[in-house]
Amino acid sequence: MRRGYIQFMLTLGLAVYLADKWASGKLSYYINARFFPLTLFAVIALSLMAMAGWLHLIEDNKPTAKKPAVLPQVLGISLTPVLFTLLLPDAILVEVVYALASMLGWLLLLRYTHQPAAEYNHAHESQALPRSALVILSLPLIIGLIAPEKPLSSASLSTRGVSLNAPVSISQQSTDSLAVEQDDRTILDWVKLFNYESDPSAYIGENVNVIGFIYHDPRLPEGEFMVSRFIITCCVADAFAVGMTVDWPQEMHFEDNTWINVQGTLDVMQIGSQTVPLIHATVIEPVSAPEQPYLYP
Amino acid sequence: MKITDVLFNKKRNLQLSLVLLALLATLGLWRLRGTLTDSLTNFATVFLGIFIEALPFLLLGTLASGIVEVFVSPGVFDRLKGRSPILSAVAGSLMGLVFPVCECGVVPLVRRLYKKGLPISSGIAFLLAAPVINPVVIASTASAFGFGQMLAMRLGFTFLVATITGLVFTTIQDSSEVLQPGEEVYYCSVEGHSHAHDGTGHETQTLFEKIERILLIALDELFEMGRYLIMGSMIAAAMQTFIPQSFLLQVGGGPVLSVLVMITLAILLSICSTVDAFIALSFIGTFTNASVLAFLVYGPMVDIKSIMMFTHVFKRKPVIYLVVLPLVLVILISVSLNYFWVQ
Repeated sequence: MRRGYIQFMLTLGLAVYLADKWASGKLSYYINARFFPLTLFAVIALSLMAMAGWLHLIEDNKPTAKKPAVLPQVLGISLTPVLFTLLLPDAILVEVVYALASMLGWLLLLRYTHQPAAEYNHAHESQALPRSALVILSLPLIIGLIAPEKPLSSASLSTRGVSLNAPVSISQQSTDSLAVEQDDRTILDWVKLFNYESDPSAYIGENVNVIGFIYHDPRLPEGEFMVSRFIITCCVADAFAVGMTVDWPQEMHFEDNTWINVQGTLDVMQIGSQTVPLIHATVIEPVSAPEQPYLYP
Repeated sequence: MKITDVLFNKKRNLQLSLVLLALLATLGLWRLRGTLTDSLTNFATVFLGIFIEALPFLLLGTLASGIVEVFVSPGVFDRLKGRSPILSAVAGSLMGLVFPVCECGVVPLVRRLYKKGLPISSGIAFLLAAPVINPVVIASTASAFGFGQMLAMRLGFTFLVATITGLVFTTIQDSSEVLQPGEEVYYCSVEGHSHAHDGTGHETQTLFEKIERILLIALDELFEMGRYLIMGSMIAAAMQTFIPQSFLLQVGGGPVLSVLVMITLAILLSICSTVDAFIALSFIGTFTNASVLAFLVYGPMVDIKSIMMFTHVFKRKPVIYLVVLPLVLVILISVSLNYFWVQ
């Protein structure tokens, strides 16, 4: 019985956690924006399942009395969300989810009060869930709450490396990115340009204005570094980085993973056998990380 | 009770120390919150990424399983029994067109279908083929690669490998030989509902009750299967954080090696089959088309999280067959394609 309550709390907790990520926009740290609707589906499904679990618990708990004990149900349905909200404030959507879940709970409840209670009085011994299931299912919540909410950082580049190749575009729309105005081009647009154009040297001297984080690539000489962005197709598990080399002769040193805005003119250079873009930087200023830290191909 | 009994109760002491350890670990992590090393943060981000991405698909699978339990009457698969073994394997391979699930959702669903009397061989073929041969994945592959050779070969070879593996299981008639015992212990409580009505069967249940039962089954299966999804995601995230991928990519030349590298990547990355076509796209050019095909065929059948889930439903020997047989077949197909298929 106690495990039933933990199961209920964990399910609702997961729903709230996901809803909170969705509402705060932090979901984009983890998955491609294309999949946000799926997460919303998960929130709704989890809330409904939690409500069903809750109703099941009340039924099991029900004494042989004719009328169901309404008070604990009311308290449970209304208080649990409140407790969760107190734990996780600053989320608008969470309230909507609660309202929805509670409403459904109430509807189910209403229906049950119309049932002759005797039907459910069979005291069936419900087998408990294995404890390991409860412990493991709480891991995402624990990790999610303890670990700082941060997008993938340049530290992971030591195992991933910066790719010199642009990904092949998924949607028709993004293949048109070569037509993007030069001031609006992202790092990904520039790298694509170098991949698909037969003669990238035609672009030498054009103005570059990009945002990315700093990574000191071991392939580059002293005084040069990469300004990079992660590209994710589905979730951070498939992230890989693309970057442009920055030539910055001044003394000022930047740490890895600092987000910067680089302005300058384009040049080309060779890494191995590949021609890659190089920025002769005129202005570099630290900026705060963008809301959507990753680029989508 | 003597005081020594309390002090030397091994089970309780173990439990107590585990709880204390967990508390200490949590406290320690909490204190280190600010100074957590970057790679641990990245591990958490990647783990949550895989989990958040896969959870909706697992939920779809468990809900589908609930719907099957409530709306499909047992014996519906009787027609498949006793027919030719090839027919039941083929039917299993194509069932994904009716139940669109990916590799996270297919495992609970397949176990549910076994309970409804699905032949073992059909179930195995379904388990392996459904993550690819279903409308959603066909659509996503087509949008990544277009309606061409790649799509046709992905579907064709998945069908072939799944059917052959299914056929291997034809001789087994008794499901207890392959399935783990003690399945669905915990939703006896759910089952209890229908029995509680004493004689009133499922038919008399209102839609509301049916929906509640579907949700309860899905809830219990989420906790049952979610374990394996979470463990799998953790291993995959750890591998990604601590093992250099660039190393694999550098190895990846040659007709045999490139296939092996792509299969290893497919297992390590553990990407949902609904989106893996887009990931595979980024490997075209670095790897031969046939090795990318190996990624597309083997990845949905077997990866870290699905192996974890298999071990829960099947006994050890069938799991080994399920992992190794498709592996051998896919390697055979892709390596020979590497030699004969003009790029």
